[in-house]
Amino acid sequence: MANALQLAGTAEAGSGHLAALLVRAEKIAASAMLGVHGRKRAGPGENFWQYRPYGFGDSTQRIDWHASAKSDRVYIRENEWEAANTLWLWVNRGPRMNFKSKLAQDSKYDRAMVLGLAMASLALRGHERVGLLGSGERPKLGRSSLTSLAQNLAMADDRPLPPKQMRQRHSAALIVSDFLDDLTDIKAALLPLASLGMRGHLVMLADPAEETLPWSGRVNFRGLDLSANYLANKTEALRARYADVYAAHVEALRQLALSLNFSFTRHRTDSGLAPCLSQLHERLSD
Amino acid sequence: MGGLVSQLQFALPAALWGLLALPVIWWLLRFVPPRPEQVAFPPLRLLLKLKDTKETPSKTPWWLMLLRLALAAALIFGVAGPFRGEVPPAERQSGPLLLIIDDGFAAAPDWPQRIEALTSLIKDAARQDRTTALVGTTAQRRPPSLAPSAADDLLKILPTLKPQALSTDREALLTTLKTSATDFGSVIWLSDDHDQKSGTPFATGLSQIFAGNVSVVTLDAPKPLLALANPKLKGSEITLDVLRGKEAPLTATTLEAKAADGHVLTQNDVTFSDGQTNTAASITLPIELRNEIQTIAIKAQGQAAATLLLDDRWRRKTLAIETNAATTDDLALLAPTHYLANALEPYATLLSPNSGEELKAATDAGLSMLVLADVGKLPQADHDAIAAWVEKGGLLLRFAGTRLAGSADDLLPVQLREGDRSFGSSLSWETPQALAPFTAESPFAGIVIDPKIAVQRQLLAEPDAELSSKTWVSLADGTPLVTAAKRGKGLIVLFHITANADWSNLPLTGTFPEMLKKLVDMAPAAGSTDSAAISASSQGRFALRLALSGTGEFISPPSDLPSFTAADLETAKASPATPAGLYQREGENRAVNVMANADDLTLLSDYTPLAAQTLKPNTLQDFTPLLLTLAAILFLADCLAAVFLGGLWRKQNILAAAALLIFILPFHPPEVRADINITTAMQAALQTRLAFVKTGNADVDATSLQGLRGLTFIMTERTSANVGEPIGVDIEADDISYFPLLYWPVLPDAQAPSAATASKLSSFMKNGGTILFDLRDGGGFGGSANSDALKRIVTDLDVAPLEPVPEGHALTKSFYILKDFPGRYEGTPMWVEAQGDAASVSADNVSGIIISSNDLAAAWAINDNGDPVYAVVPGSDRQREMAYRVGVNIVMYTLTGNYKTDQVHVPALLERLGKP
Repeated sequence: MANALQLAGTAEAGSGHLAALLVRAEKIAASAMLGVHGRKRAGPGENFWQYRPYGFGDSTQRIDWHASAKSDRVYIRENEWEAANTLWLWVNRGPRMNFKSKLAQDSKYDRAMVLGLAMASLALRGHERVGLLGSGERPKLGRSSLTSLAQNLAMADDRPLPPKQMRQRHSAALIVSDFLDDLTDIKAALLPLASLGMRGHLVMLADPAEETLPWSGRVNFRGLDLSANYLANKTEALRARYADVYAAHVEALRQLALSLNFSFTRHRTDSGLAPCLSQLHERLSD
Repeated sequence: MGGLVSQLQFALPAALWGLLALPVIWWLLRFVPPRPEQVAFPPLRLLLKLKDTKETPSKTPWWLMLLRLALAAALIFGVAGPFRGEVPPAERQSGPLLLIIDDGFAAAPDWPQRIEALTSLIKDAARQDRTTALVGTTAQRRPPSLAPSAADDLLKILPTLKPQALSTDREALLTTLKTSATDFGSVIWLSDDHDQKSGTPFATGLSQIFAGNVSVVTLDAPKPLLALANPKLKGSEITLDVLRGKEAPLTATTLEAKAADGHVLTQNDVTFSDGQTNTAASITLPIELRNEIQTIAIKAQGQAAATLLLDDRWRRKTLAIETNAATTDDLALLAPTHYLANALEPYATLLSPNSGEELKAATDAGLSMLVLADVGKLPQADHDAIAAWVEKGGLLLRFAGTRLAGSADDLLPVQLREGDRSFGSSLSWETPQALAPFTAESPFAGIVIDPKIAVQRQLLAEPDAELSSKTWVSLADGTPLVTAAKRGKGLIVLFHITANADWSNLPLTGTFPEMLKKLVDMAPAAGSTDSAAISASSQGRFALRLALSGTGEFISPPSDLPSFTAADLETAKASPATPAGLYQREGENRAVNVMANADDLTLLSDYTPLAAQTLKPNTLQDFTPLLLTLAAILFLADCLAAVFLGGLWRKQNILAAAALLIFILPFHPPEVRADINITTAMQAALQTRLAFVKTGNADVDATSLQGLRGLTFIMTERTSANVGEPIGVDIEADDISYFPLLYWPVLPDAQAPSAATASKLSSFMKNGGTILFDLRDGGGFGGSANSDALKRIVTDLDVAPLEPVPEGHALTKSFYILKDFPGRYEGTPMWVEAQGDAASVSADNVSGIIISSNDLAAAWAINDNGDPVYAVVPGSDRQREMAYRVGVNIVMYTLTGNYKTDQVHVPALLERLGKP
């Protein structure tokens, strides 16, 4: 009960924050190039592709009278076939994400939300469907669905990794998390996605303090999702060994992504969002 | 330093055992490290992988351990109560301690030092668990209590212990001690270092009673004492002796005569020549000032013997006026004594003895001066009494008259011829005579002679060899007018004219009182010491009104003192029964002074057989507060260290915090005071001007300024009111008391004024100021945002009930006759304080508050060219003109009050006048 209340509280606080995040996401998305998913052939779509002489079997309703009036022939207007792809989005909203060290500009949660929403916005502008992993809702189309997407995202969910669920084949999945769980758990969560043939994109968000361990002296480290703690008497002495462990973890993740044919992107909350966004966009467009 | 350590003693030496706990504390501290910095860390899983490495045992930093050990040590030492001090003479003795303190006036100048010494002696005794008795050496009205009491109780009464305005009476105390107190373990005598003829016997006596357990504590350098003695009134000056002790180093000092209210009337410098123990001083003042003298004191002595109180006897003289002429009330101006009494009243107490007995009583009581106005031959008894009184020093003043012309006795300075001489009568060819100028030898020299003085009749003296030397005043033709002769110690003065205007107009001129004043000055002081009788007119008893403290200051008298007859106080010296001070009864007062003698001032240096010990100030140095403060500081440092180690502060924050601490600690933040704009205040004070309240909205403020400018322009054009350039005030900060009218445009977002401002506004209205609130919405009251804002502003103000301006209100006719009050808008009424309400009749019935909603300022507003700025709604030149008239009426109303309403009654008054 207490947990439910806590989650509701978090969600409420998050939704107050939502408008600002949305604006930021839209701004960032606008700065990235609009993706083109045209199929380079005529078909159902909105963009003009070619005028074609009216032939037998064509519906008279398809005759473009403006074009036909210019000459003696009758033309049919064809648009480019634009098939919408589906982008499945997962943003880790667990307690670990609410971390912001003094070195960072944003909390990891804010960054993840902005990043996820910006990518969703880009995808929606590219006339693709965007759905949330684990939400149970069907992927939606159209830019107006960004708000409902954001609202769904703002709902509390303390699972660090996407849950198992029937998903569409051959779609893309964008997974934004800090990936600080056990590798086995991560692998267990990602394998079902890969087995469906989804193209996965992992974005590992990290706070600079998580990488560099900037404390010194006697420090008691408490976990945000673990009840354990670690008492370091001389933190500066730990730094080198911790860096090794951290690098090993990242490397293992990269190997995992490689083996699943997923892309792997790292992002630190003290750096700008735009480069990461354009890189992701490029990968998604491939 | 070694001396310091060796002199160090502890109040609670047992507490030092606590130092043994220090190693334990050290051991405990070593293994209880400070709380680590707490950090929430998401990649804790990664950190936990490092757990296998060996953990270095955590230790408290050495400096923190040192800090905490020092803190513990400071606490332990502080509780032990270390002190350093001169070992008091009664140290390490048992049995109750008797403290004898000389609390006479001689101890007064150094009294705080003596109290300090007493305090430390009592505390010392308390440390040794000894009870203490305290007794003073001055004579007490109640026998001294020799019961020892606890130190705490004694310390509580110490501040009330004051030096007495008395000499010490050590013999009496010695007698008491002999009979009642021998069970004291030791005795300490705090001597005042002055002999007072009893120093050595007292020392001997004490050592006999207490057998060697006696010590004397004296002051290192007692202040040399001076005293005032033997005051005498000699003519118009007061002479007195200033005494000093033998070998006293003081060679010069200053005398001050002070009035009852404490202001200094005169200062005299007094110097001693070598070896002299007394020197004469005198104070000469005009009689009016001399009468004001209440105390004569030696400057910077701070003790009662150097203070001399003067009473009535030093001020006014008693004189009696006697005449044989019958007087009737309705002929007061013709009475022979009328001018005399009026002239003498300011300088002396007048008696008018009605019988021979009363005259005798008066002369016996020490009359200063007797005036006989036209008394011929005195009855033999009176004659003898007066003659005897004159022989002793009285001044007899006689005036001539028909009776004296008929028969004279021998109480006259000169031999008179029978009959009188008259000038200017129908049978005489001589003209009335003026006075010859006063000769330099005459006592009246210096008095300006009124040129109108003319003498018509006088008595003539028989010429003889001494006549010219006896003549004080003569007429222009050389005949003596005032003659005088010594008789014994006294003086007889004769005016050869009457004391009324019958024979001359001298009594009518200003010269007459001047001459009489000189004579009064010459008369001896009232109540000569050899006359014990008290004048019959003075009955009743004296009560002490102002007592003199040992330091020579006035204190309130003890409540249980009886009252005294005049005889009791006549020769009284300060004593417990009659304390020094001013005693009073109906219109009369008597002073009792300390009157020290030279012996009182002699220094006492030989205390044999007792050993004298010099009192050093601050003999005791207590280190407890120092150590406890140190412990407190260390504790704070420890708290800071804990915070620092707990990681709550980063290093740069610590620097900032330290800087902040340094900045905050020594200074109390100065009281933030709204700086009243001096320029504004000066402008406001120099000329009557209209003022508006700045709202903070630039447009509204500009309109207000323009509006008031327009109104001021109209006022100057049309009325005689001289109104200056309008001014904007900040209602919270500025002083508004200069302005008769305050225009206050109300904005919808206006906030309630602060409490201070609200009271400022209330007092502004109470003192006659008027606030003109303008809602500026043209919509009347109720519901609009502006009226809500007005409600907020007015809530805390003291406002009487309001009503729309009624018919016949002063506002409708203070300059123009008005029916309504339009501004930029029209149609809504203006509201003022209800007239019927008594509370509103604060200042001349002028309403303290006027509320309009017609945006008056906008209607008045003119630009720099003098053109109106805003259109009026619905709009006509007439409406703007009426708006100006409203403004003029409001200003005239606030400036002139309600006098126009008084004019209402003019027709009725005229009608009444018309009716015969």
